[in-house]
Amino acid sequence: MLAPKKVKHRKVHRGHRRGLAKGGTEVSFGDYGLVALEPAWITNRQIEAARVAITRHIRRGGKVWINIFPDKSVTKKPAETRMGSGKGNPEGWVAVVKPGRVMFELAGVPESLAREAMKRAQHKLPIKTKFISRDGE
Amino acid sequence: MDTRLTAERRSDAGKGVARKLRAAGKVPAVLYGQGLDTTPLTVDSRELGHLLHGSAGANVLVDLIVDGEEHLAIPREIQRDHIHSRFVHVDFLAVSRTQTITVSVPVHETGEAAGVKEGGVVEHHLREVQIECLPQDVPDEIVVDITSVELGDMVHVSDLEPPAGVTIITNAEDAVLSVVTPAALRVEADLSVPGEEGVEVPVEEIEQEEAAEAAEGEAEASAEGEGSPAAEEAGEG
Repeated sequence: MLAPKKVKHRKVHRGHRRGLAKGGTEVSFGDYGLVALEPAWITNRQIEAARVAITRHIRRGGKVWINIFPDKSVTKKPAETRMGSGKGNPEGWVAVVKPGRVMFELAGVPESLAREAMKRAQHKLPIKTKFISRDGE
Repeated sequence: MDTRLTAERRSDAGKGVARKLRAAGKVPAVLYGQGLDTTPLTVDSRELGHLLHGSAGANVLVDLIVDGEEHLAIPREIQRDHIHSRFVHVDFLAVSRTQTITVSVPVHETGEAAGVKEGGVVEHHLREVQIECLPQDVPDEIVVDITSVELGDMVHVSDLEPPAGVTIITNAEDAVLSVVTPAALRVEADLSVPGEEGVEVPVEEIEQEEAAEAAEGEAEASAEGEGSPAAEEAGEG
């Protein structure tokens, strides 16, 4: 699964998720894309599940791009622990996604196949998303 | 293809004004170039949409009518709201029919590459090229025939054949597209290997740091536990 090779700080602030995506809002590499319509933290497991769903559906041929990377660590305190005593332990990695962000791109397959593959990826993600094509923009 | 678009001069500026305009189905725009003073404008969103969805796309030559005056212009920058698929702002560059301009035009391929028949896939490296020509000579697209491209071959900018009167200014050695072996397995390898490595490194670091923290915590607890009532209370609770 995707995760940083090394990080400067292993625990980071949660930050804000307000606003829209500033970059990565267009289909840059492939012919089709999947755009986030809501803000979310997408975990590396969700990204991997969506990628597997896409690659399994398109089988041979085609190329997949993942435009988001889970570079933010999330921490969690153990169960039944009283509040305080510092921040919890790192439990996973997430990508901060804002509305408008093209998360996945696909090329080299017919549009009908791309739509179906992206639909399967949509089911693996925790947010509303939209299928877009390069020509449609 | 020349197209007419009526625009109104806009006296107010700022996000509040722009938002009101967009809510009313208008799009804030601006016209500059050819010695003109920069002129803030307002154009109709629907008309603009029809204009830009023609075969020329964003390189359409527009007859922009502002207060009865006609200006030949070309959209220079189109800002869009990608969530709601609507226009945010448009820059129009005034042009002259006798002066060359620099624009980006899309590159499209025709035919099925020989390499694709052998099981390869077409990989695009450059979707657009920069060209220099007169405004009326701007092509809708530059077409490249890829039927003879074998597996592992590459099409460069120098292989493109621009229409008469058009000069390509993108670096001639840049790759436009190539036919490569199917990427399904390569993508698997590319994505899974760094991911697996990536998980291991932070976990090791984290374990080391946790062990160090635990050792420090024990040392502090033993030091506090000797004479501190607070520590005793915490232990009871």
